[in-house]
Amino acid sequence: MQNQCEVINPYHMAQVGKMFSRKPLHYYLFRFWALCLFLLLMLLGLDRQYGVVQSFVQFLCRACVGLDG
Amino acid sequence: MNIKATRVSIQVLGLVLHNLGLTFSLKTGIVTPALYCYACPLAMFACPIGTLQHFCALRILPLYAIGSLGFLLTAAGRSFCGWICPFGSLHDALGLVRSRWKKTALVKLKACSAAKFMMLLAVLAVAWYAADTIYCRFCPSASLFASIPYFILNPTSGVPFYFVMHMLTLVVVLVLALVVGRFWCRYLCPMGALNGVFNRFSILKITRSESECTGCGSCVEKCPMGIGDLSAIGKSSDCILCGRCVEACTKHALRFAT
Repeated sequence: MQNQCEVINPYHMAQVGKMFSRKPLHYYLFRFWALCLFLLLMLLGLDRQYGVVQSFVQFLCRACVGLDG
Repeated sequence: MNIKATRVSIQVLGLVLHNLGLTFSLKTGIVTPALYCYACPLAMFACPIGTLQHFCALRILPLYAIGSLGFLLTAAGRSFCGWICPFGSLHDALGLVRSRWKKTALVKLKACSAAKFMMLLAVLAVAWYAADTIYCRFCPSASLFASIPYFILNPTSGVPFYFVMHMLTLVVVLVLALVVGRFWCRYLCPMGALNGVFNRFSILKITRSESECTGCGSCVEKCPMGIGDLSAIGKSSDCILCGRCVEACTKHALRFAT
């Protein structure tokens, strides 16, 4: 037991704890929605170039209800 | 592993990753926020500045480039400049040469955000107006990673005009980088300007604990970007989140945080 306590360096554990500092919820929500928005833009860009969203929807339709297009 | 060893390892990995398009078949088209020319015969990723210019010239909104850049930069801010960008890594290597040559930088100049932003706006405006990727013909990163390899692979009878222009800009930038640490990243890099905008909103950042900070200034002394203000560390658009200040702080008042 003592050996385990020696292995876990308390300073490093404190650093890990501090890295995820407590911030208000809106701080994280803002960044989350920003990430979602940029992901959506990426998808729109890929769809414009390669039609990936349309192909995916067609694939889902075919797989689920046998519709084509 | 300490921060310096981790950073150097990631910089080497970044250089290898950017050069994985060895056979022309691994060109992914993924846009990464690092200044690395997509015209390089080995390039695996697309240069964001080249891509944005291309779409400006075509007068089309670059949805994919904005989305992927925004996603990566919201996550990690300008750390791409300090940890991944091959041209930034070259500046770090030149910094090592400089530090052996003389212990401190020969010229101590403060970082200047305005010049970078003006450069970015000018690059995009010129691409829009001229309907061409004009900046790419002068880009020092393209000089190193595209012009020289192409010239070696396709030796022509004469030396093309733009090759001479590329070499001139490259030599000027490298000489200035020997005198001022990270010269290009500090004052002129349009990619750095774009990345810097996201420093305020990024998830990864460097925070300073005011209760633990004694104001000794060892962090700003080590800053390769010349940030002179303690309160600007991790917040300024000039901060590349390289972590040298975190290493230098003996009181552990600075740390990477989310």
